[in-house]
Amino acid sequence: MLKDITIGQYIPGESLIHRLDPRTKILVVIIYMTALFIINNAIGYYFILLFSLNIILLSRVPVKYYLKGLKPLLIIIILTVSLHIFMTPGTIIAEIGPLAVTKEGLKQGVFMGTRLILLVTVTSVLTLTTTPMTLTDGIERLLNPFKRIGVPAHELAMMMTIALRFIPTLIEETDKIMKAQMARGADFESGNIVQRAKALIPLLVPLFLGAFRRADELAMAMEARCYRGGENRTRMKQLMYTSLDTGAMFITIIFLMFAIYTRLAA
Amino acid sequence: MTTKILARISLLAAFGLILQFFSFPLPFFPEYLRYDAAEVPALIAAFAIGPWAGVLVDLGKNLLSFLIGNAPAGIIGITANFIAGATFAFVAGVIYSINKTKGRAVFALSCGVIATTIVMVVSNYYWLLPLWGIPRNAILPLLTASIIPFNLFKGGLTGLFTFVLYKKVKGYLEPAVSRKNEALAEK
Repeated sequence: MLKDITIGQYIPGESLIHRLDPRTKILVVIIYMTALFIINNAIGYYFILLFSLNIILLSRVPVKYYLKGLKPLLIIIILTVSLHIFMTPGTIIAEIGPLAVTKEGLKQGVFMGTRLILLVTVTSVLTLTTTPMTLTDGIERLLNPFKRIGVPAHELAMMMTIALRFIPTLIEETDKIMKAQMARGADFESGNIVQRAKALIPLLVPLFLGAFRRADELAMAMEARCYRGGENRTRMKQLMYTSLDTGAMFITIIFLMFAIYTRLAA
Repeated sequence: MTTKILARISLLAAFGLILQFFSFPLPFFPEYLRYDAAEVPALIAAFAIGPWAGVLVDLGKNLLSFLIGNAPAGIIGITANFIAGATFAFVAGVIYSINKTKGRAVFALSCGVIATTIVMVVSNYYWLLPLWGIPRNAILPLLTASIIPFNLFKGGLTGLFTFVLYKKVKGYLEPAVSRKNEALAEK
């Protein structure tokens, strides 16, 4: 069960999107999402589709990875689209038994479906072209100005760094304990809900204790190396804005303005 | 925040992420509403360290699943998960911190489940379901048919797990208590 876990979905590459600064990418995604919720008519959707397709092509990541990201959402997309198609009152254009398809419903359904797909795809672009560590760095730098109002930017980034480092270790430990318990006759993969829940207990107890032990050892090791928070800390890899980032931000802001325009004009 | 607490919170967040992989479908619910015990580390943190630690563990867990691209429902999904988990951990943690007894733990967890369900109903009604594009007139049946029972059931099971587990790991987390137990055992 644990061996099919893949941590991270980063696809290495040298495309324009890969080379952007993580801070730019996060900001672009935020602006893009705002635009996605501003847009409310066909021209706007057509435009944002075009923009998104361009980003996907620029990222040079095979389309099948984006489709894979959409798969778990299939049910909710179908649910949303059909709810709109069948439940919006308006001009009836077709009837399937007791259900009536309306023109307005069809339009709304297509819009909402597109919005959901784009929402997921754009976050996929972010995680497919950026390593989790780079993203963490980007988040820390973006949150830095909010330190003054009490946002623990450095601590949060440190947490992410430690957690990312220890996920493989914990998975290995889980695997080891699972095998040890299975050798004693434990069954994790079948049975009804009560049996499954009960089977988890002998797995969770040693894992919890192991996690706490590791955390305490790590804290001691960090303090022995004079870790004292984020103040005056230097880093090996500095994030730097390039002209590429300026260009990307410029295009995104024009895009946002256009999105606002399509809504106001309609 | 001391380094020790920082490290503990980080490890618990990583642990929560791993627990997400052990999900199983619940009876009577659609296949996509699966149960996982991922909130348990956040609750243990809320009990052992403090309510804010629980919130941070949950924030860490959700940020991680976003960073490694393991969030099937994207940004809305992790936001919803964070709201639910943080409410649960915070409410349970605050109530438990007032008086740390066994009975109080049960009360704290039950309050947590109820608070989570209320918060999820409100946030789904006004914000999350409209964000998914579910039409207004379909929200109410969805709420009563799936969100309320699912949250109550999920919260209840998580609470049960936490209660059973916390009893077993408490000795290690609260050294004063464990030393007393050891002394008793020696007698």
